[in-house]
Amino acid sequence: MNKRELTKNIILYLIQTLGDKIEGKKKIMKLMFLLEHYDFKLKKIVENQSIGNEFFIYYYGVFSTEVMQSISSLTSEGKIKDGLPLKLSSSAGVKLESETQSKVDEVITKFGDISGYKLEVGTLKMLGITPSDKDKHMGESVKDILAKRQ
Amino acid sequence: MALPSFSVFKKELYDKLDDAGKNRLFYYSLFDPSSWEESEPTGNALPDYLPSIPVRKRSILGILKKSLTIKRDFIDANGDEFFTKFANGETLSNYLLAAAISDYLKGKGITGYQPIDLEKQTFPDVHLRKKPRKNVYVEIKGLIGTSNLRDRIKDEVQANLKNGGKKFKNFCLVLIFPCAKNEARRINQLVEGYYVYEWIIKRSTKNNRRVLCCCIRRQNSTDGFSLSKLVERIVNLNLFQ
Repeated sequence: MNKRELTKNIILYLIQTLGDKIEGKKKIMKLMFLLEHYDFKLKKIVENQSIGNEFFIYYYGVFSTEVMQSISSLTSEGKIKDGLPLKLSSSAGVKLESETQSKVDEVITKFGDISGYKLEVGTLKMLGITPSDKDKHMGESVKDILAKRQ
Repeated sequence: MALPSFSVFKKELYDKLDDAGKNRLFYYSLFDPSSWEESEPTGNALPDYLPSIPVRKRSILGILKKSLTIKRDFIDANGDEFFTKFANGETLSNYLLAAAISDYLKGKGITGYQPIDLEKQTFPDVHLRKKPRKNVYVEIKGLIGTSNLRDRIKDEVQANLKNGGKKFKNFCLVLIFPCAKNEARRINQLVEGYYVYEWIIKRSTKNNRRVLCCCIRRQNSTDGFSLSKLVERIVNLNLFQ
């Protein structure tokens, strides 16, 4: 499965598993970031990436254009229904290998109950950025921030 | 990466744009790619009031290329990195607002205010100083909706105001929302949000701190949803007298 298809299937799995707790696009974005960069053994953000989507710091926190494009594409394909919380349509089949699924499950177990806004603030804080200090990092890539931290 | 200076931006670009061009550039500058996250889902995945990422980028670069220095030294030299820092960061919107306020003040005969450190991307976004000691600060929040606004203002604005103590005596917070035509219901909801935050900011301080809420449209409009109308409202708060 290529990166785009994998990303789309993980998003569908997140919506399916979290149900009403998925809220909207923000929460998916932040959970995808944690899946990409959170190390459960070290309990911190690391440079190693699970899927390969690049994240940047923007006004609403960590953000990946690739994840955005995947969600938009799932909406256009009719696999995600309009409205809040986001819901899957009946045509949306989820295909994930068990190894990936267990990684996503780990993220859901640890972070799935946290609101989108709290995840926005929390993921920035994990990168050493407080909301009051966010302006200085706008447009910076997560890779660059982590490289500077080492 | 170095960014174009405010004086180059103002002389080579801002002063040559008409009101519609200034408004369009300001509108595009306010909403970075992550704004999409806050927009409600629609059939084609983007509501009318929000530009797509490629359209936004193409439009901003198209306007910025009208400055020879910006085109030659920044866009042609390292376009992607420049765009990320300048337009997806806050420098472009800070430059535009500072330029518009400076010109409006001049037109009103209020002289001596100079923009300070606009490219630094620190709180607040725009700082205008008149020697020896008069300082006015403007913080702009380009927002999509009012969800979590209370926490956002507390975390991003009030925390900084508290740290700055008496320094931010003359301060204005601008909550600015994109809108399309025929959006009366959405605009009414946003305006209700404004009254709540005006009350919170006033209550939290004895200084001259104000809140403005406004909408902005891609097309320069005569009904008040524009950069020029916003600037008029900021100056009319009497922070500069």
